[in-house]
Amino acid sequence: MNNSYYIIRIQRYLNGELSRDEMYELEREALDDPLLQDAIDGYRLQRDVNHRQLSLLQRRLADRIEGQAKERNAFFFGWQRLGVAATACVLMVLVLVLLWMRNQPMQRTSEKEVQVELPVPEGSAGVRAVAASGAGLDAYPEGGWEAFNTYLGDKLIGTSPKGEAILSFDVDARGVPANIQADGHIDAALLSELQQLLVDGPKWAGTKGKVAITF
Amino acid sequence: MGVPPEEQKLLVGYRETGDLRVLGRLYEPYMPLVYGLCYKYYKDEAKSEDAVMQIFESLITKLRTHEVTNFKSWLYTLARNHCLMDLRRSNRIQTVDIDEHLMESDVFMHQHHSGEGIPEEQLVLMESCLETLNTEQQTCVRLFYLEQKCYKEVADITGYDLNKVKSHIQNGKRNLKICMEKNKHE
Repeated sequence: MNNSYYIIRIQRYLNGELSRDEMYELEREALDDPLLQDAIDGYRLQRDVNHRQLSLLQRRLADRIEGQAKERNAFFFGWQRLGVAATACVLMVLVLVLLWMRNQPMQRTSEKEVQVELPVPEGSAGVRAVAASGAGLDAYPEGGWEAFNTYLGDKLIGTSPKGEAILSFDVDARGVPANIQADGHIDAALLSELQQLLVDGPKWAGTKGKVAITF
Repeated sequence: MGVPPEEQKLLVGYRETGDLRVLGRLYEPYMPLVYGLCYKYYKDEAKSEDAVMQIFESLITKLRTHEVTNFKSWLYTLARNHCLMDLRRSNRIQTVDIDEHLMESDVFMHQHHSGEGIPEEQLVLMESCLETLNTEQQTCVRLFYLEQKCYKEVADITGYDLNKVKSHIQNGKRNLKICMEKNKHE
């Protein structure tokens, strides 16, 4: 069925523009078609077929249908937006973590830099010998503490256990440490190793010395 | 009234998908008629327009669950009930010619559409039933159905009011049908 055909017929019928036969045909159809009959009655009451009104109704229907489509789209975009938002959140957290991680090591390096500057340059194994202070102690390595430390470092690589030993000794006429003794308890094997190192090591100036060796 | 296959396809399509665009294509051709029907009951433009949309809303849910075969007559019943119920709710029910059409079934229409095959005794029966109608109805039905005059002509010939002519014909047709069905079964 063609709706504009019907509505135009109704309109022309009501305006008396139909021929006798056409009128009869429509009336006959309406008798068998209650919807058509009621529609004709309605338009007769309204005294007119208002096409603008009908097209507004069509507009409303189209909007209603569009509404569903939009609802669907809105839902769709909603998920999409949620996805974008979630991704943005994850990215932001990632960036924050990265920034934080970058900041942390920088702090550590700066701490380290301070530490590194403090000690006297030492041997590769981190061995360090300093003169222990005390009355009548005047011995020092002839080549200087730096050279002595380097020497110790080379010799003591990988020594364990780590620890500290304080050795006091006399320096003989040739500048070689003699009568080397440990202050406090120290492992005998380590003591003899250290004694040997001192004897074989650089010459000393002075008469009496005491060194604290950290390794 | 045959059901257009196109319409049947839309009905099934909508029931299966729930796609409003499909339903829109089904409903849109009927909107002007539904509007007219609503106006008949409401006699108010805005209310009728709203009703046309409300009827669409109830189609949205009903056509998902109901298996409708003849959309046009189903829509007619739905739309009419919608208006009547609504008027009843708002307590403004007026006298409406309620069942002019509801009692119509195919017997009469059938005869009209497959005209050649009417048995002679049916014609005789109809003639005798016509006699039982009151004068106004008889005159109007004769003029309309047998002489194929339109309402206006019937009104001119008989001097009845146009609306009277219409209701005489509708009532006469109904009575005629009742009479014929009763006699056929005897």
